[in-house]
Amino acid sequence: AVIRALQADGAKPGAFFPSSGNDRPSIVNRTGTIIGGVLLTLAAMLGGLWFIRSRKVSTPNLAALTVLLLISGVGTASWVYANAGPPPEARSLTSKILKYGFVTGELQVETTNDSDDIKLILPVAK
Amino acid sequence: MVSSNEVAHGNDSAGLRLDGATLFAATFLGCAVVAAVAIGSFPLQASIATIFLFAGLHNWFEFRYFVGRMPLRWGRSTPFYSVAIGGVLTLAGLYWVAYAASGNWLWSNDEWSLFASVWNTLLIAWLVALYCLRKRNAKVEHPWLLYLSVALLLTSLTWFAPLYCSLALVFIHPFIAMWFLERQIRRTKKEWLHAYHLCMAAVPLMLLVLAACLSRQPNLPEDSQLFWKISQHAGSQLLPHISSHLLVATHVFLETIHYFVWLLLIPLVDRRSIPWRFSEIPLLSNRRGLPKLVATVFSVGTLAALALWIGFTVDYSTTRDIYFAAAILHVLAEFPFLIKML
Repeated sequence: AVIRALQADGAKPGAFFPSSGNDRPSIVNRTGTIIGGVLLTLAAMLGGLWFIRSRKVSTPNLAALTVLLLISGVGTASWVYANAGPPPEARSLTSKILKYGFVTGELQVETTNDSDDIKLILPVAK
Repeated sequence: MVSSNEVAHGNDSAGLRLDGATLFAATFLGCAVVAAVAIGSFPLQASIATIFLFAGLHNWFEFRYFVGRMPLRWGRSTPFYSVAIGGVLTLAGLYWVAYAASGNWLWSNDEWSLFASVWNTLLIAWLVALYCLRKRNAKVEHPWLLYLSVALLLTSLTWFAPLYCSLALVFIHPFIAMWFLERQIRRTKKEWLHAYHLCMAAVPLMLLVLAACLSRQPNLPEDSQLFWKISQHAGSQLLPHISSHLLVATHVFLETIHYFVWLLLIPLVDRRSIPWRFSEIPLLSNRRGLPKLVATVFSVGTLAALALWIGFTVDYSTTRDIYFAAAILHVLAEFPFLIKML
């Protein structure tokens, strides 16, 4: 990636990820997630109810066992993936991180005469 | 001893038996392969050409088919048809409101996502209502808990990823015609059913071959607004990691099959749907129907198809925008008639 030294315009050096703010990806938003979650829960409830009441289930124990297995599987998957990190291409410092909206504005590059270190300052999205 | 059947059909055991079903499948697959190669090679040009040639015409054929299937008196199906027509007009109206408002600075990305979620939710609710009315009319017991669960699952997806679900509708729509044809073959050409199922099984394979061949192709040029619109319609903005060459080719291929199902295959399997057989339309040919209204709508439809061709010739891009705004009507109208056939 090409690092360009630009004038920062009111940008604050800070965390790589925005702490809070209104800039969220347009594709998934908070309202949609909540409503989607409620609907998904209802779907799972009604689907489970249908499964238990279905004549194909021979014994109540089998139905209970199947439901338990499903809940365990979904719960385990949720526990594993709940702490999912950012997309793979956003985990390294390349120009691709700019498209996710984590940073915005102009980049600032700081160099010093004392050492060979170059500091790249990414302004957090407000 | 030779039976009369063997005498009538000749010595089938010696050569390849070319019955109607085999000929149908061979022709379908041959044309689909040729179309896939041509469209995969020139997707933008194919998109422009197919829409120019077939868009308005296939809508006319669809209307001809639907009006032919509309009964003289709705009777017990009155709630079904009322909900169907009301749903088509309501959803289309909402779509047009959003279309007219597009580009307005008041609409941010979040508002668009919210609108897409609400619209898709209404669409699913409408389909569930139609299906329940259909099954109630047919007095068939159905696992309504399961259907409701599936509907809620689909609706949750429209809220998690609304724009992706709207894009999915663009790609699912061509399959509705193939499903129509399958139901029609069951009714009027049962001997072709197996051959048709083989053809349908081949379509995903062709899509896989297209994906294998085109996934590494560079994105299509977007140096004109028309080319940008074609790519965007196929989802290039929502799926930037997939080659727009593949997306456009896939979309045009499916739409081409969709056009030919309506223009050729449905009239082929259902004689009542042959366009010039107006006597097969109960609403038109029966005095107790609505002959003047239907004739007027046919005339207006014919003029609209001609106007579309003229519009495409004069200003393709603008006419394309107008067509796709109006086309939501036919996309929605397909659902009730398909549900009626289930």
